[in-house]
Amino acid sequence: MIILLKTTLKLLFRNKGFWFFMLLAPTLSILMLSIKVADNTLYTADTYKTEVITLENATDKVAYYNNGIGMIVIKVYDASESDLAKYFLDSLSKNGMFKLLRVDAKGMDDAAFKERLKADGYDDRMNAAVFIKENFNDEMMNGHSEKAFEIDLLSDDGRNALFETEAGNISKKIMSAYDTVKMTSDGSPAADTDAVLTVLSRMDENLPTKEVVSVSDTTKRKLTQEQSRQKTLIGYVFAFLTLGFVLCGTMVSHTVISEQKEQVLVRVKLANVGNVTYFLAKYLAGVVISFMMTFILAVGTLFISEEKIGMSHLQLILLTFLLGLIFCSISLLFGVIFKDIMSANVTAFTVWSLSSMLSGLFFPLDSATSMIKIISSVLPQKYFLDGAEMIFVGDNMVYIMLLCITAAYIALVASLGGLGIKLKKAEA
Amino acid sequence: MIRYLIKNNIKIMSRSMVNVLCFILCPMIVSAVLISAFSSLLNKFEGNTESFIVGYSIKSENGSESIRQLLSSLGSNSDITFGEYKNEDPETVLTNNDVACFIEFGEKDYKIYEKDDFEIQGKIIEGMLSVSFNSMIANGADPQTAAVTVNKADFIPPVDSTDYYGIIYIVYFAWCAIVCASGLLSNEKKYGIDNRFRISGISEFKLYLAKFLSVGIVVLTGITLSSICSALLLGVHWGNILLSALIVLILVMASTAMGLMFYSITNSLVLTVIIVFSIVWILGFIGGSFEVYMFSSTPESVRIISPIYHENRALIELLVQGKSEYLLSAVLYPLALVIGCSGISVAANQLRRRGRK
Repeated sequence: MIILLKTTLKLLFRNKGFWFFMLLAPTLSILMLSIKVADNTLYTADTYKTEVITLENATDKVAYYNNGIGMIVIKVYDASESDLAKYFLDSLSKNGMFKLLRVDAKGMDDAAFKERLKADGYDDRMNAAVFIKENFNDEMMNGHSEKAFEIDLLSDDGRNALFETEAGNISKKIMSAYDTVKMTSDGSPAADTDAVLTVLSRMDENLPTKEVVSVSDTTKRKLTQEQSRQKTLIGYVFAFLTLGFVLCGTMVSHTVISEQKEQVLVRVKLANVGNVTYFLAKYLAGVVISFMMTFILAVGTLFISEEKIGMSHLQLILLTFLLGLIFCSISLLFGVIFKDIMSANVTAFTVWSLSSMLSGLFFPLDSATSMIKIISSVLPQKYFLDGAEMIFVGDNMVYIMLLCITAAYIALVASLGGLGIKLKKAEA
Repeated sequence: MIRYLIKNNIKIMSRSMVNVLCFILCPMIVSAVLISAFSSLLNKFEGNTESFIVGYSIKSENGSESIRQLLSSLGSNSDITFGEYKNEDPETVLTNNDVACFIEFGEKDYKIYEKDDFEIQGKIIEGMLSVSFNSMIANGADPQTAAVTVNKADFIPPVDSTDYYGIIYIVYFAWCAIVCASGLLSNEKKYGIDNRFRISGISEFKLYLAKFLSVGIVVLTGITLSSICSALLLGVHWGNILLSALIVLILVMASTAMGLMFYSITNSLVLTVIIVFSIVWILGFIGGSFEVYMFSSTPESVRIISPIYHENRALIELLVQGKSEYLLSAVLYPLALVIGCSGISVAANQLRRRGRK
């Protein structure tokens, strides 16, 4: 068996394509782990937050904040940046139905806002954009709420009407508070904002206190924004690594196909080596590939801090190695089943594309239909992504789960491979 | 001679089941998956949800009449039915009845129980109650509401996931045209057909054209069949049919030319397929084939590198607004690829031929 393993590895090491993929997948993964991703990750953690979310840049996209939980997405350009504007936005977000994403827009004028609006309308998706003007406080004080801010509708959503009404209600409250302050003091127009805010908070004390209880699945893991970002990155890393494992694994399956074609297998069997020993040697070559790729990744990630990855280097290495064991064995299976290299390659690539997509490596499947979720639950990458999530939240059951999943897939692939060989024999 | 070659090539390719699978079934399967995964994210909400029932209970008799009046007025202005439950556990009511959400009114507070499957309804109730209470505080006895400036801005009408992924995966798979030629190319190599034709004195350009046209015709037929099937079975809509067909035709030509170019350079089908799949995956990744292009945070300067982005955007915009600024680039970019790749392909074949001599 050792001779068979050595021969297979020798053939692999002579192949330039093997080295290309062996280096490419971990390199892409390391690059992915070292980049800084934007805030609008696919797995938005603060979906259920009702506070105003502050975006770092005016160009940040908000489309992913709309994920079907019933809140409408509103992007706010705040040129005023005053405490009163903050009160206005906080009050709107307390409504519970509006997800407000605020951008500091000090110095933004009407022309610049219109320019942003074009990008928001054509390159993003939101219900409306709100422009809070620089002189928000003054206009409110003078009773011109229509000049203090403007709402630009970017959808035909029927719920926008509720937003307009609520914005009107809160404007009215602010203007009434100014009137109260003017009445109680000397009636001067330069009313003190702090006094207005005090009146407003007194008015709000009359509002009934609201509490929202979500009657939902309590077993769902809640990730922080940072962990959600890390999960997005890990998803892409798993996608690159599985592609690397699958393509390097097909190189092993090429040896199986060509050895079958060129009658090498028959000669090997004459040397008193059984099918089990032969395929075990080929599988061990897959194990070596997993080890090598994991090693390259381990060396590369030494320069990336564990905080950035979200897990320890050892944990990442373990996940990668186990993932490699599964996908190298799957590629080997294609080599056993298919008669030609081309079909094995196309199938391996198709299986990788579909399984990565269906397991949620590229985008979350939370809102997918139950049929897609069932399909997803039989794919190994889904459990590795879940495993990463469990590591993030410190759930130690992850090791047992991943070991069981790896053992189960290897057993499944081995039995399917055995069946394939028997069927081929029967055909012959 | 070329006509005979084209006919023969088409015959060989049509025998392979991989073509049927790749160009008819695959776009449908993948788009069906993504349509489902992104359905709620791309969901269009144009009006109120269908009528639904909201349960409520009032703990304190103090002010209970005004709450009932408020709920009755909210119900009369919408399709929402409010049903009172006395002394019952809200979670039990939600579990055992067809109730979207439940409101428990206290003396100076209220609790809204929202169910996972009825989140939109729960948020509508939350929003309506908040608007009502704020309105009471803000307006008091004064019925005059504050003036608010509301403008209707220009925006791309939303596309739903069925149309988006139904179209995008036709484009994506059309870029994998070389798979269609795999049977033909491997047979030609195996039996040395090319060498035999070369002896006959036929020019490299004619040999290339025979392959290019035959592969293009088969891919286009498969893609057209797949588009028709997905329109009938999944309900995918297309915009301007003529312009959309033109874009698809040119992209099929570009995809065929690109595949043949890599084959001419590497002279290995396996390597060609791996290179083409990897390139198409990367171009699709930045061009909106997986993540909706308007949602992606990939900078525009990177996205425009991908011809797939131009094609995706032109086809989607033709559907939702009947015109697109990307139409010209969606035609010219692949056309440039056809010319460039074909030139390189013929030159590489000629160099190889000279090398053999």
